[in-house]
Amino acid sequence: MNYDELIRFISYFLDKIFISYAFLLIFSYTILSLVSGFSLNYYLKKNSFVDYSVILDSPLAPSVSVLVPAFNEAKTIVDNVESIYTIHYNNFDVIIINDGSTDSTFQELKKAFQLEQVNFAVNMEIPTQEVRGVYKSSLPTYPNLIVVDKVNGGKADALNAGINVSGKALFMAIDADSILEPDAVLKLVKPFLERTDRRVIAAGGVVRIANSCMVEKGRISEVRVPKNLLARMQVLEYTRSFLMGRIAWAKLDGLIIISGAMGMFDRDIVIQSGGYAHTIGEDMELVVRIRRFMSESREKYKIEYVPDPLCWTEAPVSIGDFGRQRSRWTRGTIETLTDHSRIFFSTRYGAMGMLGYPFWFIFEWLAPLVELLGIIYVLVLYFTNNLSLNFILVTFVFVYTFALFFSTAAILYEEITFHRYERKMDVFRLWIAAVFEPFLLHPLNLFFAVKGNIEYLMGNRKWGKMERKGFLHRQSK
Amino acid sequence: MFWLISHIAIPQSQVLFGFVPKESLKVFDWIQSIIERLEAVVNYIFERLPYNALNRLIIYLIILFFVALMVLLPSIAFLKVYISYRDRKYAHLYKKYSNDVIQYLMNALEDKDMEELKNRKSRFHRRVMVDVLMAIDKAENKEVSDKIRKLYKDIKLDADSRRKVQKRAWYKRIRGIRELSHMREKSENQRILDFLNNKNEVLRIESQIGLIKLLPFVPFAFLDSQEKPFTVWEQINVFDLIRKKRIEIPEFHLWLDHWNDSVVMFCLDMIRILKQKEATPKVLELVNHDNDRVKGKVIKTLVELENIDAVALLKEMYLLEELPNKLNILKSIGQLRLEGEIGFLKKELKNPEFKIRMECCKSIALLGAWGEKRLREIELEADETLKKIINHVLDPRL
Repeated sequence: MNYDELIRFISYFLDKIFISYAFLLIFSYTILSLVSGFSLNYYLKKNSFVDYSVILDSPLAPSVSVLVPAFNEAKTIVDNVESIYTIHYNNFDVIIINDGSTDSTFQELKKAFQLEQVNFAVNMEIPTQEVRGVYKSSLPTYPNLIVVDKVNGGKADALNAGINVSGKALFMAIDADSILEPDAVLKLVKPFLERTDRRVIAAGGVVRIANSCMVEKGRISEVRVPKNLLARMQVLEYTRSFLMGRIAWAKLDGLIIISGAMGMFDRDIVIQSGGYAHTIGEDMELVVRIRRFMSESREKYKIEYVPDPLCWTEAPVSIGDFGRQRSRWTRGTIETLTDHSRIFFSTRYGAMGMLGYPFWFIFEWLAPLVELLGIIYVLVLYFTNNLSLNFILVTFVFVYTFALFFSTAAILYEEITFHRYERKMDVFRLWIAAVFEPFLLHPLNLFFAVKGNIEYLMGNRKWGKMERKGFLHRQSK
Repeated sequence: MFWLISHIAIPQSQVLFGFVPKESLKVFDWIQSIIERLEAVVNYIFERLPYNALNRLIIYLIILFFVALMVLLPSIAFLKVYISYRDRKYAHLYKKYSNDVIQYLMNALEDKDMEELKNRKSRFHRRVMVDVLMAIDKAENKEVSDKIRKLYKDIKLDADSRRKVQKRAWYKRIRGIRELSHMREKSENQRILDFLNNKNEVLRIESQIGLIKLLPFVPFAFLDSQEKPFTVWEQINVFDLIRKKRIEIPEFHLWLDHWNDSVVMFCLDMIRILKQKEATPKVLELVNHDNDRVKGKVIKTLVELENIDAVALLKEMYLLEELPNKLNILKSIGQLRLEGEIGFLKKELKNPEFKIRMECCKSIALLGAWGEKRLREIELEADETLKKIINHVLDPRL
């Protein structure tokens, strides 16, 4: 076999592998979007008959703790706590966990809410770093506000401390910079109330990007598409991911992630499965672990996803912040997938083992690596004069038209369902972002995902810092 | 497409109408030229690619995605316009029909307006009419209700509601049930009864609520035939109705021997919340129920019914119970303020389980100043954890 023959032989197989991978990916996304479509249609019809206010004053409604880990959030923490108090629910408490902040986060809280140290006996059901003190607000307007001051141990450790302090049946973990929709708790609690023979162990909701949105008294008062192009393209990404991905995965019972920005969990199950693990992707890891715990205990369970936008968060607007976030997500994914590798194609874990985990492994972890290999392969073919430029062009157009079609479908889903972007121009801007996304955001995603893989191999387990720009506040006259 | 137009549409048009409109020919010409250009592009690409199935598949998929994109884009634009038009139209009609109904209630509606209401055939209009009638009827004034029901029948909206109940689509059935039950129309009761065990939970809830409204003298008869789990969400909806409507509340102990545990748990909750003390003997019979969740509710109910005699029985059960039930039993001693049980509580303070110790201390503290004094005495000999628990329990801010 001479050199040319060898190249042709290898290229024959690689062609087949790359093309099969692309077809499988497109097929999977198409199936997911169809499942999502049916699921959303059912949810919207069902929701049109639901009156959530019946939960509000019902003695049968469960109690909920809202856990908010905070590390160096001095600038925004007081506003954020006040925003939490705009939610509609009766039987709840708010637990802020100051995770050894080095700025004045705790002092700001103490001053604003007139905190007093109380003799709280913490039941250390999940081991955590030392709790220095538990405080309660002495203001009558915040009777259920608890602040836990502890030694720094990371987000997972802070959440575990919050779980230990919470005495409620359910807890909702949110990021300190998240803005909740007023009915977020009502909507997340409902799946737990609908329990039949399968215990509902967790529920997630759709997280949206709040950059450029107007915030008034802790609530989103006007939804706008971000002015910043990077943030705008992330809006598309989130819309695709939540409206066309996670909802379908919940329907298929293969969901393995609930966003760290907002999720509600059955406290007992989380404690029995050991609480949050000290990993970078603690949100995904927890979902996988509680699912494993339930499967291994042979208990029937389910995880629900509420398609309503319930939480708004700030997306990174600088490439540096964006890169750190994406690299962290990649490392978190790899860590979770490798820690729970026994789930891979194991029937014992049901749809999670046979669908959810393999999908994440093949199309989330490996996708950027396969894409990188594809680029290298094309370059090799080019330099060895074996490249069919026409074929590459056609393949590129194929992938591009699919990407554009998929993003457009996501915008259509948003318009059919929640149509939160009221201005016609905003929808148009979003579509323009979809046209350019494959050339601008995708290469960045690819780069930072590959970087995340390399950093993981190098043993980087750092969280990374993101600079908050803050929300646009409407001035009250 | 072109084949369809040239071989079927045009000849058929000639057969049916005897001519082909000039404008449609122009459109066909335009479509034909587009298709020819597309074919030319595809052929151009095919000529430059090796002939194989994969290349053909890719080209066809590109065309498919492109065509889909061309369909999606106008759909988004159309939706944006349509949704806002629909909302505006709904608001306008709602206002118009609200005025008409108010005029009708004041006997001031002119005959021609009444005729107009009766002759409205559009489903959208009739839907708005029902919404208006139901909204105005919420005032719960008997005279107003009677008049609204009469109007509902006069303009034959009841026939629409019955038709909806008979539809296959579950959401249409729900609308029908909601309308009929609101207007106390009982003609479809049997059909609604059949929905009680439907696999669709939303339809199930609506039929339960509908039957409660439609059968005011036996509102909870549906519990007899409740086969599916009676979820907490369904229970919350039913309980909300009990509170808001004047519904005859039954003696819930009648269903305590129901084979469906979720129904039993609902009844225990109702007995507890509505303080139906006469149910105590029947509740006591369930103390050894197989289902731990039912047992937990039994303990809570007995405490709420302030049944002191039950405590001896609960103490007997204590050792063999799971932790949640143990905690409920300990809590019951505190809530019933049983000073005589302090020995039992003090013994349990030696239990290594944090939650049991906490519950014991809480129960002792509930005994008042006497209990607090006992706790301070216990604190003197307590280990570090117990000291913290006692301080927690005695902190009035917690």
